[in-house]
Amino acid sequence: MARRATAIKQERVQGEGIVLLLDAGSALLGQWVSLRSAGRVMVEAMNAMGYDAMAVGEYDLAAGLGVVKEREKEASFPFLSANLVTVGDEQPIVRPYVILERDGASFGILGLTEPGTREVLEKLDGATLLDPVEVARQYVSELRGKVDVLIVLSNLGLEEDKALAAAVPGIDIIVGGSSRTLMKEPERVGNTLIVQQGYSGEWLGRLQVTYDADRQPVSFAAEAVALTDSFADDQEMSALVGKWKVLFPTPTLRPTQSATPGS
Amino acid sequence: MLGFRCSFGHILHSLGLVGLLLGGLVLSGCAPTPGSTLPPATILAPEPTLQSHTVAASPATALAPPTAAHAETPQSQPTVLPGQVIELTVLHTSDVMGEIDPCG
Repeated sequence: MARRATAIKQERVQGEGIVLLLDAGSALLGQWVSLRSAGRVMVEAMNAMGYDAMAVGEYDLAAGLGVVKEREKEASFPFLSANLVTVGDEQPIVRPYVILERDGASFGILGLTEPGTREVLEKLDGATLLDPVEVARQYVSELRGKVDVLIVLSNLGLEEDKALAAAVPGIDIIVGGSSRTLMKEPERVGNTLIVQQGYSGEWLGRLQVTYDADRQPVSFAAEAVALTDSFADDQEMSALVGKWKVLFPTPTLRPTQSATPGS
Repeated sequence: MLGFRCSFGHILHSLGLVGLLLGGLVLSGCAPTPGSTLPPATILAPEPTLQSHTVAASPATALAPPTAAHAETPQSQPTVLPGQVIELTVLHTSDVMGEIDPCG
């Protein structure tokens, strides 16, 4: 986390043009401290790093919708999912999309959650997942004329992202997740660029695109920045994470009597 | 494609183990207050479409069916003048899975 914070700060200083920082979902839960804090450590860290939006992913829902809603309140960035809706009247449970305005340009960011989560949601009252392609078609139609660049934060998986791009024209960029893919270069389906860079926070994806006056991509480049020890730890982030480690120390395994030689 | 997929059931199992303690933590309010060192994005988009509801302190707690309102359609229009090029850098992560060490 501390290396990621350093890398992001460097990218903001060195990067050209408008910089957006996005997460495609399943960010909050998994490791010991994040589980014990019910995702608080992740939200606090993502606030500090200045994330602009996050899709709600399958694993973000593991602690239940109530926890997701609490973390959403604490976040300084929106949680997005257009197809995570209430049962019956099919109202969005978090924001379906957000429009960010930067330097005179507007960016529509739409969130989609993997339908495979339906199995989990059936154990909870009050929510279900709609077909992401149909939902995306509806929202893309609504947003396309209102923004300069339309981005989908997808927790569907790479193959599903390709199918989405083919089925729903008008998406400029799909930032993907769920399939834990480390892509050497972006996939291009029509005018839609698809990127996804790894898992477990070991990489930071960077996609640079130049759009002309007609909002067509005239050049693009992508890279997976490996967060190796070539990045120094950001001290503020180290302190933030350290505080949570003190609150929730990782348990150490001790040999039991039955495992002691001679017992 | 690289990587692996953790079992969703494993996550749920882990959550179950810490559920009681977690519930106590939430109720005791001993967690630090989230903060931000960077300005939040300018948000022109719809407000959250759900009314607030009770927090599920335990992972096993089910939500009551929420009352939701339709998302309002944003009124913003593109503000970049015709002929103006947009240079965009998207930094992105996915499937971090709550990893904080060593690289997360």
